[in-house]
Amino acid sequence: MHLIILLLIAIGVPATLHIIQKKQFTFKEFVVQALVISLLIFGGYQMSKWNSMSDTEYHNGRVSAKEHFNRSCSHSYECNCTCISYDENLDCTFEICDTCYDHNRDYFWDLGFTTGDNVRVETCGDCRGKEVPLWDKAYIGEPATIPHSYTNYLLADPESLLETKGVAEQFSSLPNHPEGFGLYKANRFVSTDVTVHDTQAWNDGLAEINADLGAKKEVTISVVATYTKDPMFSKGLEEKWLFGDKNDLTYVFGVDDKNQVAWARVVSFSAIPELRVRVRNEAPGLNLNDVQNSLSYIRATTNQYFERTSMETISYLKSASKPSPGGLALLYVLTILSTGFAAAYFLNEDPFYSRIRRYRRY
Amino acid sequence: MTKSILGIALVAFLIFGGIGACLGVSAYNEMSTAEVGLKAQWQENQNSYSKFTLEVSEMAGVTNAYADEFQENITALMEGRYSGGQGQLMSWIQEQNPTIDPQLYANIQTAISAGREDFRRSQTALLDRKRRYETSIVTFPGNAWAGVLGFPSEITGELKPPRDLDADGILTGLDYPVIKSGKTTKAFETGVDEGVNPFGG
Repeated sequence: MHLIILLLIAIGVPATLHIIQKKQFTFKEFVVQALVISLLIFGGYQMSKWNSMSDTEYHNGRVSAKEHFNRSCSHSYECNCTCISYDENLDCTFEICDTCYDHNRDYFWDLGFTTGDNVRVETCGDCRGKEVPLWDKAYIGEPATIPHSYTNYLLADPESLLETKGVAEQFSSLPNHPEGFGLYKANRFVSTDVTVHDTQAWNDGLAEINADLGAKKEVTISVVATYTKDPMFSKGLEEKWLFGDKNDLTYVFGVDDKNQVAWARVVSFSAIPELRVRVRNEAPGLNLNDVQNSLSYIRATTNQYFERTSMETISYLKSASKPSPGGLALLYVLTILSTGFAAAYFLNEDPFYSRIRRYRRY
Repeated sequence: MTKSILGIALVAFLIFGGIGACLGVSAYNEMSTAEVGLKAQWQENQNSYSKFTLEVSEMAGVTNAYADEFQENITALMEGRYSGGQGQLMSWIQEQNPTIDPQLYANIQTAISAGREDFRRSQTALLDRKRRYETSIVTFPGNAWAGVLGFPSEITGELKPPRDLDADGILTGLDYPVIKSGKTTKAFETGVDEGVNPFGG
């Protein structure tokens, strides 16, 4: 319906102008404006539909290259100009200039990853010897998690039966999905209430497991701990996170006051039925204060039983995609602006020379 | 003036017609893909069921002599006819194989739970595909395209649905059923839930 309204604006405005200002706004100008803006609207609408399904996942690996190099400055500008030709008003019509540069050299700090990504950490001109803490601290072999965009078909259809509904509101302590920071890092141990002895060891250990299994199993592992006694907490998390990213595998542990696992579930878009059953049956009894033992269990279980389900299995949901409210508002604004500008242009200019009066010679 | 209006109407018709044609092609592809997806999911459900049966029977070492009885037990479990869940199937397996190793027993339990989980997901996926397809052909402008392009189309041959669930006179992808327990059907028909005895019997 919005597409029809937008097209009516794109065609209606120039049509009205042509009817009331026939000489200033010719039929040819009407056709060109209506056609071009309609096509732009249609393209923008389709793009906006795809954009509403855009999401971010993380690819895991390790730092594989650290490069610091410099080259001749690329920031040039014209300088020392001399005019060599003037018109009758003595305004310059042609000038010759030198090419000058902001500085002598440009400096770059790059990181390469086993995921195939390269990230430019810093770039600057004439800053030899500058300290770049993030690059300085990075080391070859360091675990890395790099964001990548993908199409999440679950976002297309909120009515899908695959999505859990009405559970998240029952739990106030559901954490937010862990996101990356510092270009290539993320803390994957998440909790809003549980305190373990060594959170850093958990985050470091999960980063190592992700670095080892990330590429092989196409997985990003996170752990959520809670004091909540009801295992439906995991369903609430599933609803709030919409399963997480497409390659996510989240172990959800309900623990007692000694941080011993009382119930366990996994949240993942992937089917992994055997992994789900095994975690539910085997993980109770683990103690989250025993970081190494818990991490060993997670590593072994993931390695043996995780198999990523392709998001393409639910691509049928994309037919329900709609532009987001923001995308739609932007489309309306752009349609109105482009229609207005194009109309003003054609009213004031005559690009097709169709308004030149023709006189017959006798 | 009339000439201008006719010209404008023609241009508007061409623009709407062109974009409409693009949307029509897109709708045709989406509906065709949805029907292919439904057939594939129906086969996937059968595959999931068959894989589960085979895996558990192999693990439990069910001999040919008891294969039919085993199949009956599995079907009863999947259709929810066992009030005690998988416990009754495990008892049956133990009766057939009294010297079963405890580790193997645990593995069979895991396989049964995983198989049921897998089958449940397949069933949900089938329902979700049906829901999406039906929504797309009953809402505007999909209903208009469906009418013009002749969707939903009839399915014949091996993949023909067993019953005309929506009673529209033709067997389409929307007629693929999900397996429900007799108890569930009865509870929804009578409005009375008789409850579950977790210890079987």
